[in-house]
Amino acid sequence: MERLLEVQGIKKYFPIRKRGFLSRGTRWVKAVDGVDFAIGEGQTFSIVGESGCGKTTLSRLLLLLEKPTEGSVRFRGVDVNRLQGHDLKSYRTSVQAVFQDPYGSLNPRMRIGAIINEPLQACGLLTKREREERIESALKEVRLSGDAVDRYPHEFSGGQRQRIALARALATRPSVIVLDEPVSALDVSVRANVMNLLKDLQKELKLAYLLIAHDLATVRHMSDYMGVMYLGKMVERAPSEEFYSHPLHPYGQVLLAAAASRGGLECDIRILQGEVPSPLDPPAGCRFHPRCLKVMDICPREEPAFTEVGKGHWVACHLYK
Amino acid sequence: MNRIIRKVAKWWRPEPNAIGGKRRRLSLIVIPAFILAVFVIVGIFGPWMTPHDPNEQDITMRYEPGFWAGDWSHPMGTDALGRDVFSRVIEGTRTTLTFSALAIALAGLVGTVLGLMAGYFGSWVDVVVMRLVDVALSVPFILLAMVLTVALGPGFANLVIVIAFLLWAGYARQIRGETLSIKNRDFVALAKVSGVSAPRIIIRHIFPNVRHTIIVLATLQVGYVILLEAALSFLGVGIPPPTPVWGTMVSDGRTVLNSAWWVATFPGIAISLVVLSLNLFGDWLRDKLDPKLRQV
Repeated sequence: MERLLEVQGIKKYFPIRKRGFLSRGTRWVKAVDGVDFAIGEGQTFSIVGESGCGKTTLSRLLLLLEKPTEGSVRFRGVDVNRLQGHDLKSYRTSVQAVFQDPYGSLNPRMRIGAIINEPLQACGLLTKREREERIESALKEVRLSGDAVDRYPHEFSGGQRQRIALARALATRPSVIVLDEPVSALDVSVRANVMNLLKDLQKELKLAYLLIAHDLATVRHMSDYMGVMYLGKMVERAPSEEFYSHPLHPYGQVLLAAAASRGGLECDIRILQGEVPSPLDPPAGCRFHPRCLKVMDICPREEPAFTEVGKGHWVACHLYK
Repeated sequence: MNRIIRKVAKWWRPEPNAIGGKRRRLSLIVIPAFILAVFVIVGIFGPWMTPHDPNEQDITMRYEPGFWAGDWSHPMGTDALGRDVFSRVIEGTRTTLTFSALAIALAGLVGTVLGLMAGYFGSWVDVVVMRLVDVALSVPFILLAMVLTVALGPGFANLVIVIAFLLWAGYARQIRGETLSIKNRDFVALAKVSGVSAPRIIIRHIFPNVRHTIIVLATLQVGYVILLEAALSFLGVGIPPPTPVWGTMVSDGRTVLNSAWWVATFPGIAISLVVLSLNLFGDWLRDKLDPKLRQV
């Protein structure tokens, strides 16, 4: 598997400033605290976790909206935070994004044509005619009619707006699209349509996806690999089917059980105790130990290492050595 | 160009209404628009339209009433020096509207640019601009105006600068706030992801979404600016007499409000009409610029 996008040891800490406008903060929000994974061409890597686990910060790091405190992001082997000028532009055309909120993703004052045109203009390589063709084909790919170009975002429904956002992402013919909860804000009835569209486009255009979600059910049929995050750390990583059939980490198990029970099936209610702790002050040792059903003595004392336990199946848990 | 032609045609073409009849679509905005147009025309051609010389004094005709007392040669009466109020109101239109528009435009321009930069770039830019704003807003305006006028000297251009100096901070603060909230919206982040440069983001994404604030602020300030000039004149730092300016005429006529009420009232009516029409027009313009409110 060619490693298209590779993340190694990435950390992002945000400082909390003490009062007083020049003093350096000594406290840090450890939004992402050491994550490794890779996405191959045409594959989907899904990241799941509760709110506040760092998945959105992770996506922002990949999109160069944030600079990592430590660690690297490599695209085709090159560290993207070192890119400048032409190479940087090239990266930007290769990696695009669709965000969660269909109502905030499109500038309400711009027409759809201009919205889709913008990334094309920013990369500066195409003639006007070529850009118009790309816009037209992008709209066609997302199953929207060409006369949308003259309309404004408010004339479209949530699902249509996400498709417009997708068209904008597709316009530059990227290799990777970061999808940050692309359907969470949509009506349940519309979600399947959009997910299916994403799947079709992936096959057709050989796109790699980083799919971020908090709902395991929707991502199942699309993911090649899964990563489970908790409080800034990745606690489990495995090929998708392996994860769904044999989840190892207690947290992953509970998430899966919660997803399964939504189908109306009764399953033994393993309630996740408590709330997600603050990333300012994560629990000692294994961060999950206060809420873990299988907690042992060693858990509060020592942080488990992320180790490979099965083929391609990595876990950070003292249950598995 | 085609789009503009289509729009104008749509406005004039009669449209079928719900019950199948046809009705020309004319919205009420024509009233304030018309009033403003009248004032603008008077402002441009006024000095040639005055029945009397606005500065011609006639001490024998002080405080004469106007048309209601039968005198049509001085329809709005005369003031303390026997000058024709009607002519002075007309002549004053140009001066008053011009300095107001210029002062507000200058304040708006400076305030908006600084507000956008402070809001978008944050860090030291924000700190510096906001401290300047704090200073500008906390100094009593009379003091600031007097200091500036002493430094710059009296005169039209300097008056514009002085008033702009008093107003810019309000724009800057407001625009900065709006910029901060828009900066965090997803479409701005996505523009960055697409590699759009910072100036382009400000011009194409932030500014169009703060325009409406500027319009509303500007229209609300016209009345304030006119009266501000009057206060400044009173202190000797406004437009020097005998040039007629509405605000000054109002304050001059204050003392005789009981007897020669016309001296203050007619310029006052002019001010009110302009302010009201401008506010209504500003509302309409703001709505027109908001795509969400357009009739599809």
